[in-house]
Amino acid sequence: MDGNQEPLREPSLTAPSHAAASPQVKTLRCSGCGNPLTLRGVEKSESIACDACGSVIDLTDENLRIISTFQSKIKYQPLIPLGGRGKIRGDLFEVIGYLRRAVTVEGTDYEWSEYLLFNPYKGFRWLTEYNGHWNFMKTTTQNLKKKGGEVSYLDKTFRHFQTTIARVVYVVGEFYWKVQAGETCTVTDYISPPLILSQEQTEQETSWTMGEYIEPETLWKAFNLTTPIPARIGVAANQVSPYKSQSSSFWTLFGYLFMAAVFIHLALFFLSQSKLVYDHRFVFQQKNKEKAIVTEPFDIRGHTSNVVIKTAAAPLNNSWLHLNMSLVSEDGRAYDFGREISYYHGTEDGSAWSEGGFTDEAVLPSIPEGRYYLRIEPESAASMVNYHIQVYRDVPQWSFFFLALGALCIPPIILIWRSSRFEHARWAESDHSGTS
Amino acid sequence: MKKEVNCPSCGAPVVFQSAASVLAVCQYCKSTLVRHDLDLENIGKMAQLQADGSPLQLRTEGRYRGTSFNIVGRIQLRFEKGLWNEWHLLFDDQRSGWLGEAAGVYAISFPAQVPEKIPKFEELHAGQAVVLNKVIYEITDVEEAFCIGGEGELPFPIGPGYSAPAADLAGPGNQFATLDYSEDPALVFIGEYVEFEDLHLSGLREIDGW
Repeated sequence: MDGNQEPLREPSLTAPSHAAASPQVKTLRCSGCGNPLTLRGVEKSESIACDACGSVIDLTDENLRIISTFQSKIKYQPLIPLGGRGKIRGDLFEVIGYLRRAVTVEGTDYEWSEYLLFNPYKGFRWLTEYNGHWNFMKTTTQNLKKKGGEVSYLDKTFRHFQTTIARVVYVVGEFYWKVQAGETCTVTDYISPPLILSQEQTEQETSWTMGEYIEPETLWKAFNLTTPIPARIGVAANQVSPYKSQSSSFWTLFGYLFMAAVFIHLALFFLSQSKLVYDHRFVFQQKNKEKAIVTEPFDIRGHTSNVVIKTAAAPLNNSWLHLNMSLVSEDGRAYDFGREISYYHGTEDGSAWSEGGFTDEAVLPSIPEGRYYLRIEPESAASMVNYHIQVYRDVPQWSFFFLALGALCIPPIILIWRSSRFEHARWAESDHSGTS
Repeated sequence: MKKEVNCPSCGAPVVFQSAASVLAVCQYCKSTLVRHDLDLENIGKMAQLQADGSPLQLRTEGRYRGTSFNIVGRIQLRFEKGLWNEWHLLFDDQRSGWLGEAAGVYAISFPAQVPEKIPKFEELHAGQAVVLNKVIYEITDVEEAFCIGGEGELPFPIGPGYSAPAADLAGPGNQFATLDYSEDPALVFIGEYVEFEDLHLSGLREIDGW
């Protein structure tokens, strides 16, 4: 809804005379330069700053004395003009004051803008803007307590972000206190995105303001602004990480894909033949070495798939068995491969060790169906080794599953990386940039 | 419990809606009338209140925790930070209460009798803990407020321009307490901050342009 379309109410005839007499907008002349000033704060304002001469006038003083004068060389132009009205979070507010504040951190000045908003029923609110990032703020009535760099409020834990000394460098419009040029206070920010808690401390008092990150587009629409929206620079202290909102739906999707991968693998597991197509025991003897063995032919059936050759050898006592093998089809295609089985053991410095084993498994992918035989050339240092060869057709492979899983993990890793980069950028502006 | 009298100064009807009220300001001639057992004493004209832009006024109605109330009176105070109103509420169950209000901040409170000993005004300082009805409060502000004046009916007599030494205390959550040292022993008020919406106010003062 358009915030500027609120129907104007008729002035009440029964209202007390002092109230009925106050028109919608009052004007007065600046005590400093005579420039006409518009009063918008409906009796609440204690001071008003003239944008022509920088004088701040005490509205509670009948002679409208000048409290202080801002000698700013730069005239800041509020992005939302004074007098502008907009509906934020359901309530209509009018911009009545604008101030520019600055902090100096390690010799560098950082400045931001604060807009004082007013609604006669709801009171004051603030809009703050820094590097194109906006917050909608309200002073809390609660007395909040710090506990080890954290503040608990509204069932949320706010983490300390930074503590700085802020000074007022420029003002225009009305304020509910007597604003002074250069007045300072200690500002301590605590965050729980999209919320921020700001503690402002002066010698006289401590106040807490809670703010919520607000999209500039929302404000531009609420205040009916046609000016370009300043681009957002960097990451704001309490800006919600775009990766955080993504991640919950993302992890759900990841979960589904993971389950799909498991399901596909299980389906392949049960649908695959895993059929033993050849099984034979051999004996290697040193005297028969360099003699090649050619097995009986066996049938490999079904669609083109893998063939797994499992070998077990015994006895191997600090010895080895090398098998030069070839799976040969009747039409002459040969798949050559060499396998070695070895087992060594011993004792070193009082502790036993062993290396190798007695079994081996070789996978030949993409073997079309047909009639095959194995050609085996065994070699060994041992005088005699028994070995057992089994050939299986179409064995499900875990490697595909792990490959799929690995591919699935890439997007989460990118997300985690981006998210941590975002958090790093957020905390880089804080007092904790070294530790986060 | 409603009692109607005639203003001894101008003859206009003056209504005491609450039995607890002892003071009423004649809405026509601003005479301040104090009710004694049988007679009515005119203690002089009440000071003009300052324009503060409050959306509340006498006869504004509202509701707090399910009980309806009517605004029957008001005290206007000046603190260093600005004007503050204490609106005297008469609830449907004849209970008296207060609605503190300034610049969009609303606070409901009731007079309380506490078993604990209340420290003297001179002993108070910000940050000090004070126990009221076994609840720990912390003093947030100690100030000598200035009473500008009042209107409607009030449960105690006030003169214009008296000073009201007072302390604000913050309790757990939205709870707060006020210690009012304009009487001896000090008056204790305990209550909570509330949102405008939660008071369901009607009969508000119309504000030009809003």
